[in-house]
Amino acid sequence: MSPDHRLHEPVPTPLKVVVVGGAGVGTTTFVRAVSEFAPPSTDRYVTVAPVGDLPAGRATATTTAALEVARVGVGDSHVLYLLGMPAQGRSSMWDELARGAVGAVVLVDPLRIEISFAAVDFVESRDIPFVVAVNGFPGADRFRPADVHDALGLRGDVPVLPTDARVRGSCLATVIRLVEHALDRSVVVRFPPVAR
Amino acid sequence: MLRSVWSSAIDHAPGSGTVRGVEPPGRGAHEGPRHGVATLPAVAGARVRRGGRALPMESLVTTTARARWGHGLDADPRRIVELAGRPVSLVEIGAALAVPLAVVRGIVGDLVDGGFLEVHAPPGGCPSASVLARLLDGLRVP
Repeated sequence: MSPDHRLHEPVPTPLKVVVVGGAGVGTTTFVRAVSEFAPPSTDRYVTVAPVGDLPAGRATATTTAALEVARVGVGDSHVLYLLGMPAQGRSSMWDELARGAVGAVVLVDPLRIEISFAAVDFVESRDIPFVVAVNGFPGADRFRPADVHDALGLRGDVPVLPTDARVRGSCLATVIRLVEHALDRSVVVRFPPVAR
Repeated sequence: MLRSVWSSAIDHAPGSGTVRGVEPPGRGAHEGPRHGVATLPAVAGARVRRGGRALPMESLVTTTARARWGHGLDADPRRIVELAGRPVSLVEIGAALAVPLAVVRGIVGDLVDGGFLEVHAPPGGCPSASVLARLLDGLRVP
């Protein structure tokens, strides 16, 4: 294919969903699962790789926390990026991730729920739509979504749903729930966030 | 705070100066200065940095007709031109090259200055309801 031919293809509009959580709650697994079982024959092609792992010998003035990236083709007009924020990521990168995002998936391990407090604080303070996905660790099914909702002190309209971060269909269903929630929020009157 | 982090990173990135091998084609010494032509890439480059503000990481870049002249580029710029044969985001380029975003921004800025790449920044702000509805339709395709 010649470059000239490619020049005339429409350029899609990029959209992003942020995947955050604490250490070991499954953000990397979630992003990679979305990529792993992509049928290559459809437009739902996916790439995934960490950003910022520098090859040996490559000099740089800064280091960047590894950011997981998955690309999901969603028709001709848009492309969706799932961006998995590492637990040790800097808050400056969180700001950039949140800007213009569709929303966020906050992963929690109900047995270590406090691990994800910082992630919840992050999405609430940026006032972006988010859902809480309870990752299916052993024993996680002992906790009802309402319990997790209370434990995290969430606003009433924030969805809490079970997820298996290892399963692509489960992850995509979580993303779909997030987009539905974002759509609900976008059609109601938005008030400024209450100072806390 | 964010801006200072990225700005300082860009200052130290290879792209802040001149990346070796990223020179606009057809501007060899024997041709002399080409007044009027050089201003266009400079304007395009300003869009990459947005007057000091870094482009969003999900911004897409594509090749221009000039990209076919990019065979003499260094490895990383050449790889970016290859990747941009289809619309590709800054964050994907970072993943593919295993380099920080600040470095990607620097090299992409030089490639835009050189006329090899075109940047398509996202519209900014929160996605509208119609965009979200279309995204939902796209995600629900089995």
